[in-house]
Amino acid sequence: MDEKTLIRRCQDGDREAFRSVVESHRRAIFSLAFRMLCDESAAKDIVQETFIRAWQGIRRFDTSRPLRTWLYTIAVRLCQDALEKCSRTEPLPDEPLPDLISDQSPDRRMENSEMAAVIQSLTQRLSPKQRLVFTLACLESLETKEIVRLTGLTADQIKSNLWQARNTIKEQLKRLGYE
Amino acid sequence: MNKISRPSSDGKLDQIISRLSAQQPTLPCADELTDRIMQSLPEQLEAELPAKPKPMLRRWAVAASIAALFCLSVAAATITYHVVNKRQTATEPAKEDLTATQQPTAVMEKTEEGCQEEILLPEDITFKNQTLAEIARQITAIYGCKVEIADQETAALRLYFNFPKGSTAKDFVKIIDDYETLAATIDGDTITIKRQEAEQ
Repeated sequence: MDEKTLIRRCQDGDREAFRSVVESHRRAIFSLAFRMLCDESAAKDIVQETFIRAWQGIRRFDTSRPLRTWLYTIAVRLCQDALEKCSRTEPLPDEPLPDLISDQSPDRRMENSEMAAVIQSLTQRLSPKQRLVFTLACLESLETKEIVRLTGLTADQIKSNLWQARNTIKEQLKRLGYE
Repeated sequence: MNKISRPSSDGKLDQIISRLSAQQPTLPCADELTDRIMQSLPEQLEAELPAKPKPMLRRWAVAASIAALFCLSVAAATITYHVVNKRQTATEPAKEDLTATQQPTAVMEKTEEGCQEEILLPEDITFKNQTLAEIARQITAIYGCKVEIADQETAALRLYFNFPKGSTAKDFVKIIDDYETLAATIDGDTITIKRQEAEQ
């Protein structure tokens, strides 16, 4: 069944069709939320909230638009709110990164906890906006055009935030003794 | 679309980013999460059902408003056309409904300009039981001459006659004068109508 038919069925209240939507997009939404929040439980909550909101608003959804972008938009907003709350807390003390950086076998599957530790360590000094742009551009490998659509920021704002984010992370790496 | 450019001297950082982006985090207990989501969904999505027809209703309302405005515009245009047309025909007695009656209010009819002899009646007019005052007003409108009626009683007289196409003001005077009880004369730009008995 193609995506448009699936969405139309969801708009008619078909919960099984919506289950298919959840199954298709849950990993992508989780990945985004996890990379932004560096917390498995919080990321799962974001996934759940994203799909609840999507279900509630499914009838307003324009089927000519890609569903993934719409779900990402909801998730990004939820993550931003969560990051805003987190930013009020003090940054963690600098700790050495896991072996990941010096790992000589890049094919090794990283554990979620390893990944979270590295991202958290690198991005903890970024502002919520810088963190958002860094995650979307570098970790999710989204194009600028798509980030503009998701965040509402302009292309220049995105470039500026990304440049600042990378500088801050490089300083952090130096502080940790890696560069 | 171009990807965002990265400084070239960020070897280490790029290496880390490359590794972090290459692997997606694992979603543990994905089906369990899906079940949790499905259970959390509001039961009554139907509660939003009335929200859907609203835009349709709005569209209908807009369409109805536009249609109503269009009808009003057409009606206004039609009324305006008829009013203007009526005003125009008021100066063209041939097209006027001459059955209308009007009580005389003045003894004489006057015009600003003198009687124009060269003017010929463009079409036949039949004065059907109209007062002399009303006929005088039309003659004034056609020929631009002053029509004086001696008294109100004469002005209230009702006449029925045909005024043929091509007639002049003098022809009108002759027709009136042919009535046994009326005497009409023309002097320059003034037509005078009196009762015959009044002279006797």
